[in-house]
Amino acid sequence: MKYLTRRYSNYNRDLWRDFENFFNTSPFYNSSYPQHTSDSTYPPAVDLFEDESNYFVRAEIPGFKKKELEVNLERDRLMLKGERKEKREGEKSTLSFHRSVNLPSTIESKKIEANYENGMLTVTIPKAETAKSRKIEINS
Amino acid sequence: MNSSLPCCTSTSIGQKQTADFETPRYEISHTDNISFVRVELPGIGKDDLQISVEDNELRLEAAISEQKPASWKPLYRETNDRSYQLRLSLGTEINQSAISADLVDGVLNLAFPKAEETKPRAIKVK
Repeated sequence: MKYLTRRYSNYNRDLWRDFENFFNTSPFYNSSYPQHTSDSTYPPAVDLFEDESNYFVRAEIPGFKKKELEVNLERDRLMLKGERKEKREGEKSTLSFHRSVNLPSTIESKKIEANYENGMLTVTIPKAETAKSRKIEINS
Repeated sequence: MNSSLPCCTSTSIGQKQTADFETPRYEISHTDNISFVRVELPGIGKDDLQISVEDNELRLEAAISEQKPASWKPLYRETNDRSYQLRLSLGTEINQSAISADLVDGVLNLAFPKAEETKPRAIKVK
C-alpha cells in the first residue's frame, strides 16, 4: 500500500504567464520556463539578482549532490541541469530537471563561478566593465 | 500616511505570524515499523533549523538567515524570503524519544519509529 503525499507549495505554473513579459524585456530575455522532463520531476525555482559588479542566478535544488549537477554556458545561455537516481517504495526512479537562463551579453563569461550549498545553487556572473555603473564627473 | 512614533508601531519580531511562514514541500512514507518524512528546505543549514516535539506534535521552524548580502538587488524572484514552518501531529504509536532528524543538501529526513508494543508481532501458540 502506498502512502505518499507530495506538496509543491511554491511552484505555480500560472505564475509564469505573468512573468513572460518580464523575461521578454529584461536582460535575461528568452530564458526558459520550467520544464518537466519526467513525471517525477519538478523544476527548481530560480531567482535573479545583481549588485554593482555581478549578476547572480540562484536556484533551489534540494537533495542533489554536487556531482549530480551540471552548469553549462552555451553562447549566452546558462544551462542548469541535474539528474539523480532514487529508490522510492522499493522502485528505482530517476529525477531530473533542466532550466536555462539567458544572460546579458555584457558579462565576463570566462569568470562565471558556481557554488552549491544546503541545496541552493548560486552562479556568480561578473559584469563586463562596460556594464558597470560609473560616476561621471561634471565639468564646470 | 499616519505619522505614529516609532515606539508605537507594532513589531512582529519574535512573534508567530502565519503569513510570514511557508509550508515546505514534504513527503510522507511508511514501512511497518517506521514512518519517514522528507522535507525540502533549500538554503537551510543545521543552525537555521529548530525541531521540537510538544503536545504530540512535531514542530519544525527554519528561519531563513540572511542568505544574500544586502547589496544584492532582485531582478526577478520565484522564491521569497519567508521562513519555513511545518507541524505534524504524531500518532500515539510513535516512540517520541526515538525520532531522528538528518539534514543533508537542503533535505531533512525525519524518521519516526513505532513504539515496540505497537509493532505487529506474532503470538506463538503453545
